[in-house]
Amino acid sequence: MTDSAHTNGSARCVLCPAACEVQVVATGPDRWRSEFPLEDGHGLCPRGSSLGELLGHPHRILAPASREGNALHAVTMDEALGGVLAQSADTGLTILLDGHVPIEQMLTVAACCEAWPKASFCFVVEPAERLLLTGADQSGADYLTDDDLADCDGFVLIGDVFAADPLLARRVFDCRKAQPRIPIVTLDAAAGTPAKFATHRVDVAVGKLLEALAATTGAAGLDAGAPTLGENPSAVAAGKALATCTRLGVLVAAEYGRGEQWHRIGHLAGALAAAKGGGLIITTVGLNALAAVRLNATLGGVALSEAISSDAVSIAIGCDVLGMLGWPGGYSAAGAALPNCTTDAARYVLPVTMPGEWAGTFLVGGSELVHVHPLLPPPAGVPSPAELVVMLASHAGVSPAKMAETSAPLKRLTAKAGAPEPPHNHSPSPALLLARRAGHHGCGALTRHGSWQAAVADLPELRIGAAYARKLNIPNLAVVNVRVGEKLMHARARYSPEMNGDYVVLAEGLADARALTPTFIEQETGQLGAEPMAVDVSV
Amino acid sequence: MNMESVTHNPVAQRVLIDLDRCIECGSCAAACHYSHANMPAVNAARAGWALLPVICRQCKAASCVDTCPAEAMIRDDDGVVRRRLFRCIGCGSCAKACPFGVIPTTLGGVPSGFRSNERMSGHQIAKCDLCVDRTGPESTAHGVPRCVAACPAGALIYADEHDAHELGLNMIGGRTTGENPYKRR
Repeated sequence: MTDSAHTNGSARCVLCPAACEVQVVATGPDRWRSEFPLEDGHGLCPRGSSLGELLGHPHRILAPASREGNALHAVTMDEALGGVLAQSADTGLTILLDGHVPIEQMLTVAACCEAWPKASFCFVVEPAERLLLTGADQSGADYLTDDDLADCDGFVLIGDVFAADPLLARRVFDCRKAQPRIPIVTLDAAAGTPAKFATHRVDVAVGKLLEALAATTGAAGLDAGAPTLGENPSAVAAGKALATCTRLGVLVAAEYGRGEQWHRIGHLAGALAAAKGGGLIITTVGLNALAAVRLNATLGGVALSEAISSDAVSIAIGCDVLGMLGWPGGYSAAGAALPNCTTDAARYVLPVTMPGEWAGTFLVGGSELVHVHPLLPPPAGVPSPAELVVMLASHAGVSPAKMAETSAPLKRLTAKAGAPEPPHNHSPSPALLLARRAGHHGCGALTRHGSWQAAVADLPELRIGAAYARKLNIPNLAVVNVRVGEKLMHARARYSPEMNGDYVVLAEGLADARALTPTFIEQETGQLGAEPMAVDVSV
Repeated sequence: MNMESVTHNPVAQRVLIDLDRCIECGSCAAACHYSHANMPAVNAARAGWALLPVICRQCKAASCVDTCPAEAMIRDDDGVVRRRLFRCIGCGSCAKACPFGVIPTTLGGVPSGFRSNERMSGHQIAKCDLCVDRTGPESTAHGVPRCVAACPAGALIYADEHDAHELGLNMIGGRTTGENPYKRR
């Protein structure tokens, strides 16, 4: 590990597109904590606040290990790499690389696989985010930066964008202060934070976000080209409020599941923003999601749905694939900085560096390339995700091909003809939805290792409408059982006045919650999706 | 530092909350937790349906100071009401005396802080010190408290009453309520 007297680092947080300034200070040998800018106006959410502590976490994976039965045994790196290659000798190897690493690392992995016929790669981002970003990119709409929001004269907030990127709230509120009558339209069945501040809240039935958005855009004067599910007075009112906007900011956070719908939503949101002279902000789990989606498409990466359904042995590096998909274990190999669902089920566990230790280029605001410095040097002997792949390739006797220029393959995605129709998502009642919360880092368990996150969430929070809770005789803050089929988890019910209907919401960052609504491959589209599930809630 | 200085003037600047902007993200509580050795004085406390930061108001007549039997709670030379760690016996008198409930052990039936968890002995009460290492006269930083710096939505403000009025915020009992005290917007 690094010498605690070595340095206090200062860089940018890469856990979401806000890219907040963050510093770390030493609190002891190999122990760190995040420090904050001295002035008001910057901000750092709980995820960034936990980053300093995570860099020196006592559970940090620092050496390779092999699983025999339920126990992990230390092995050398050569033994671990040899074991992974032996597993994949007959089937080939798929490298699932965290899509939030710097662009240089993704290019290195692509170059390795180009020279390695038995290997393929996939830059992994949340399936919903990949589809949303693809649709948004193909729409041709401009991407806005945080600063651009100051010029907007209306907002459409889709999903809990304030939980995904809390800094956006400041920009929207500053704009509202300057223009008190500015329309703020929210579409979020899960009734996240933005719903509290909306001037117009569009009623969204469970699983029907696309239809609600189509109704809103239709009322705003744009032909949506999507079914609208009959009358929706709240959507009509919201659309009329947007009709006079000349620079509309459309902010979207893709939430777990719903598959191909997100592609259409991205496209429609982009079309609405472009028609109203504005642009898009897509909030994602990490800073580099858009780069990962573009690079995966242009460099010949396989889709995640294809990767996980093939016979090839796969190694997940930096990404918690099983936790993300809500799948049970059995896995070949996983590289991670901290334990997660995938490392818990992997035959081989390998150490890699983590956010805060990476240096490299990130794509911000759709077109700007930003170089991020590391907060701290990585622990001795721990490779970056790309270095691990290079080591693996070298072990297989492969030398990487020449790496592409950083910006060359980052071209915007264009629409393909004949995109499949999204399947008609069903709306069970009562239903379980998964949505964003501000405390955790998407699906991965990374920031869930933070001591604040662990202490404050003694039980996961289950949002529930007051009327529905009273119907079930569930008091506010009661501990409840959440049962989907045979699967069960415990949570603490919290009344949410913005929710109106027979459904409940859990945080999507919880692997347990994802296990209740596991991902599947949609037959109609071949995309990864998850449906709202019928749920039973009781005290 | 004069430990008998309970008659000193209170601080001019306090941490104020603009309820119109709080998005319940918990950034303030997390910042306080990580920077005060897991003894946070800012709690993201559930109050009914809301989840809001509960932060010391630095009262002019501080009941917590008057009631502390161990003279652990003082107003220091700089006017900050703070707790002296090694004098605190964790009796909870200050928590009971606080008229605004900012030193509670629970709110709404849920633990609002971490004062009784296994990381601590349970013999100290956490109390906001306004991050004196950043804001005090001996600090060269001249910054704002960490909860204010962390707040991404601009809901926490480090200001005196005059500044708050300049910002167009209503004040009730030393707390800003935003443009409408009963409704978020």
